[in-house]
Amino acid sequence: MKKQLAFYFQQENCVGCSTCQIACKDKKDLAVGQLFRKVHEFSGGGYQEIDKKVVANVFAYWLSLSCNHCQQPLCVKNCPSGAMQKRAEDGVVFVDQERCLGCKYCMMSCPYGAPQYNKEKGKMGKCDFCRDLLAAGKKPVCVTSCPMRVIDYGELSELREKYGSVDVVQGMPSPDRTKPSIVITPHRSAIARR
Amino acid sequence: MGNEWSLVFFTVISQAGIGLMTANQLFNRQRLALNKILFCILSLTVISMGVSLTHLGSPFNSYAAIFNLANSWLSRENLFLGLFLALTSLVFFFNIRSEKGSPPVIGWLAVAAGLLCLISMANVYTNTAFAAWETFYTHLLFYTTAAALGSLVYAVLVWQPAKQKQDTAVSQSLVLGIAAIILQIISLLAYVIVLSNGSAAMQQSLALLAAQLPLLISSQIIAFLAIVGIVFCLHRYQQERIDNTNTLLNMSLFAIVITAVILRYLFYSCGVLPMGI
Repeated sequence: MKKQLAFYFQQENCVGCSTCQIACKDKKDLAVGQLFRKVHEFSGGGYQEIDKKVVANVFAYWLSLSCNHCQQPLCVKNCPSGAMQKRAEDGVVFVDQERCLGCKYCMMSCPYGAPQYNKEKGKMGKCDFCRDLLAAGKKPVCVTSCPMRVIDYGELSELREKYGSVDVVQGMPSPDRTKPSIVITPHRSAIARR
Repeated sequence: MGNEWSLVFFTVISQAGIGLMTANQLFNRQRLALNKILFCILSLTVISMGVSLTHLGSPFNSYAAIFNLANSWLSRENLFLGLFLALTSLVFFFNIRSEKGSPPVIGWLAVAAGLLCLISMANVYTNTAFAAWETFYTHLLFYTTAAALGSLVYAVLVWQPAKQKQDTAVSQSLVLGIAAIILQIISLLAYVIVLSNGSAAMQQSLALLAAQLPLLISSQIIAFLAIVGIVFCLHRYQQERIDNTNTLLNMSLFAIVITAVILRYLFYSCGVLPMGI
């Protein structure tokens, strides 16, 4: 079986501080409007009166998401120039900037909205798992910057063995089509009903 | 998805060119106004290609757009549009070089390339993450636009010479145009029903469509008026009374162009991604 790198996200302990998002933006030097990782906030619920008592069922949770380096990436399949590629050695999906024509078709293909258009360069960009840091034996910047230590990375099969095989929570699109390489320990309010 | 005007115009113009070539091959047995028709097809295709370049962030890399033919419908669309242009140019070249014109097989090959381009173009959108584009409507919208615009532009271009030569194919092309417009109206209604019963992303798309209801209704009123105009032209043509009806046919064609642009704009603007980073 081929090696596939993946992110792990321990959702229960995420406090939504967005440090991962900011660290990624800083590392990649992204312009306003571009994010390779984003922290999504979900909240809801309310108060119910049961037997003359007011009971709260409010909830809030966060989801830190970047490119999921899917096992069946639609962006790679659809890219007309072959600029969007999946690295054979570790399954990392990245954009070959030289070949990219900026048609934005990868942006239309990704259910997670991961590829981002860089207007200045006229090219697409996305999370590349901090390939430069990996090559230097370091961890991706989102992993090292998280103050709550809720983001980790590793080989997908090992992460699944350790944390389970949840790859979708409430608020995320179905994983069936692209098979995202992500493992999540879901927040109690975010467990997806499939 | 926002306002993708370059994609709106690229798809509508290229579909008009492909539809016109198909109508010409189907109906123009007497080779009426052939140079004018072929020049029109080539102009539409070249203009559409030019417009498509304005959508690209790096147009100088556009040569690479056919590098992923094995997997990408967008690559296939580009290849078939290029082939369509090349084969239509060949037909035009033969036609201006000799009285006999081009061998029919080249014209039919151009039509085949054009139709394959149309199918690829529809598949480009059905294979995205936009739920609103994954339905049957994408295919029907693209094919009916090509049929309606192609047959009506054909009728406008051959109207006078066809009358002089007692050609009946103009009537057939007008009937095809009317059928395509009616099918488009019915498919729009079915699309709205599918969106209303669909996923959360489809419901969101429906809400976006509903927010532009005046524009949507206007487009359908314009389409209905165009049908009335075309039916009137057809009636006059069959009665051999064509004095002023050419103006009415031109106006009906203009109305159909407006409808096509509005429907395409709405198609792009109601696309919603399941989630965005």
